[in-house]
Amino acid sequence: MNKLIIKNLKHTYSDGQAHVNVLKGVNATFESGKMYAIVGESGSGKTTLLSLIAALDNIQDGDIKYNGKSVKTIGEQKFRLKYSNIVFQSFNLIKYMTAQENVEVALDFANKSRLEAGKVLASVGISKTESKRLVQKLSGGQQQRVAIARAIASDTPIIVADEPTGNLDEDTEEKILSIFHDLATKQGKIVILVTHSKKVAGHAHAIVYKMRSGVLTK
Amino acid sequence: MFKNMLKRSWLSTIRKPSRTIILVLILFVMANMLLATIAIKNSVNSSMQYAKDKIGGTVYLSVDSEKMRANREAQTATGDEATGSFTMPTISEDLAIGLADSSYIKDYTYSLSTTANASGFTVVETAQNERERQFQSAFNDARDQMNNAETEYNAERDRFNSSNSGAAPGGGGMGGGTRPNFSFDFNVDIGDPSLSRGDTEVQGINSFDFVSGIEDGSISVVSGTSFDENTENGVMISQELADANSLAVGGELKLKTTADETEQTYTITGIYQSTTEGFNNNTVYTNIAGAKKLLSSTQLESVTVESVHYYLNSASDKAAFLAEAATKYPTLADDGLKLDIDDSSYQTMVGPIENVGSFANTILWVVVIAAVVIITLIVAINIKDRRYEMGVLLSLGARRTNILGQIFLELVIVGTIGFLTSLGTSQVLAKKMGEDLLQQQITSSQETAQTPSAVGGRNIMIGGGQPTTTQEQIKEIDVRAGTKEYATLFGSGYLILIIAMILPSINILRYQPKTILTSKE
Repeated sequence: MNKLIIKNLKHTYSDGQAHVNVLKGVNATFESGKMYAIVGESGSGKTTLLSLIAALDNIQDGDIKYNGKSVKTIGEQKFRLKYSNIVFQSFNLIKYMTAQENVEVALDFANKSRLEAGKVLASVGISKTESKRLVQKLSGGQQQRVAIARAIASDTPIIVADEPTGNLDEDTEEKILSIFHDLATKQGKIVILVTHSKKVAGHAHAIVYKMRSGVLTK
Repeated sequence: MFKNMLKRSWLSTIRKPSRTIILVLILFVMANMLLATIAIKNSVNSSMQYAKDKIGGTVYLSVDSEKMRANREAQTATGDEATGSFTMPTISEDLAIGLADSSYIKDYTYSLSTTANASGFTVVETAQNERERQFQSAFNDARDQMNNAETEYNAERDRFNSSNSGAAPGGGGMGGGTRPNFSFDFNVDIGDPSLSRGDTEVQGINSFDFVSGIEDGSISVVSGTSFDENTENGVMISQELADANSLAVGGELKLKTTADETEQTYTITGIYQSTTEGFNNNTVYTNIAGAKKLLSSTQLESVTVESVHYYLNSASDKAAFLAEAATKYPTLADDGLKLDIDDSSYQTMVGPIENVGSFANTILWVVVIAAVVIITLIVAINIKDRRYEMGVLLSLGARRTNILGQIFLELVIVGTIGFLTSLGTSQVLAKKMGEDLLQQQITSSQETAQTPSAVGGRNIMIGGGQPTTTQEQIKEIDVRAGTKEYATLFGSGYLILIIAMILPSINILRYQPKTILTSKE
């Protein structure tokens, strides 16, 4: 079983003279094959934690280890490429590319065949016709699925998602959640979702963490 | 990896057509200016090199008139003028030949001037004849007057001496009561036949092809062939002299030496014509050996020559040749002589074109700086617009170099389109710009030349015969962009693009993806 261990993680934002301690010593263990939901109020530090797990920012204090290897040792760029991928709240797709091309970019970085793009997109419910369209011509739900497809295309063992169902209707939300659930249970990945949604938090298979004032509790 | 970068670059280029078109247009304009100025600059350099090769390939041995003037001024300043003597330096034939004995010299020429009297033909009437007659008449009058003065003075002396007869010849003494005899002889001889000038000007030169008028086109061969140093007793005469005496190629021409009236017979190898106003049509050209036959035995003991030109193997040999000459003849400068290229001709030739080159150089720098500034600003704005995309690519695990590579390739694509499309138009622009700039400079130089202080003229001979301005201005430049110019354009163009992209890109990529993605700017 693969494990992601967060140890005494602290993070501070500086804005001129002001210093805000966003994370005040977060400790947690995430295991493969399980889906986690981190809930909490705005500004509680959820997104910061997620950014650090996705290696989008430098670790200031404490550590994040995957199977005993520290992100600091592996290096942020390599960790993003080989270990962890993120689904952004606002999708962050490259607008001048089609759905397929967006996925192909991730496959290229991961040194995988572009032919995989079609299969990955199909696995999240994007048809062949839709995959040929520019992403800005797709609906919010379709874009979210393309963002998930891009995150899973490089087949990293950790998938993190920031408010993955924030802008979606109920039906689509359910479908997206099942994709994440399948990623955890069928593909054995560690799936960590940050959400405000009670539905996501209350998902039958989600292990819920609560973030309050920079401290993570079960 | 490169293929992936190229694909993303290509997609970004074709899916954002308006941005691409603007960039291509800007690069097209910049490339036109760059290529035009580079082409003009290179063309100017070629023309200047041509001038250098043409002028710099010839070294003149001449009297150092500057130094002579300086020496005279120094004598005047120190008050030595009255006692000091001034002798005009001359170039001996031995020196001229000795300097030519060098591995840097491919050919050389010098001339030997003398005069002779026509024998069996009549000289044509020229301005020189008239002046010569006036001079001869004045000379004869002066000689007669001096002879008369000599006769009168000697008679007076004899009368004086006879009136003091009985006194000791040459004796003296304060209290002797007699005056000494006056034994001073007034004896003037200004009638040395060797000083008299003949009615025919004779120019000895290695080959008729080296006559300065041949080079500038003012003298041309009308019939027959020119002589060279191996032609025995060959002469070239003017069309006027030939017509006046019904002389033709192959015929004889007889000249008498001014020293002892010895007759020398020559064969007419060719007939020439001169278009120079006031040219002495009684000038007969022959080779050095032919001219020497007309010199007196005294003159032959130390032959002096003029217009000594050394043709170097290459213009780049100049410095080495001068150094060698300085070693072989260390007293050359002290003797009042100098070896140098014809600098005034070079300046005349390249003056306007040099100004064009200087102007093109300024334009080039302005264009390069403007291109760097404008392209950097546009690229910076473009890159700033894409910071989000760069953050996304970093979050997917892309290396920073990979993203830099993508941006550079995008610029290479638009740059190549811009540069390639400029190849045709820049030729026209460069030609027009080059011609306009040169005409402007020529007009400007002509206006300067028309001012009262300006010195004009061609083939002015100073001292030992250094022509000061024998070359025409370069009035045309062949502005044409070739492989070299294209290579410079593409090289400098891509370099400008790298400079333009590197700072704004690094300014974004130095951050972690989260900072880039959450930044509001």
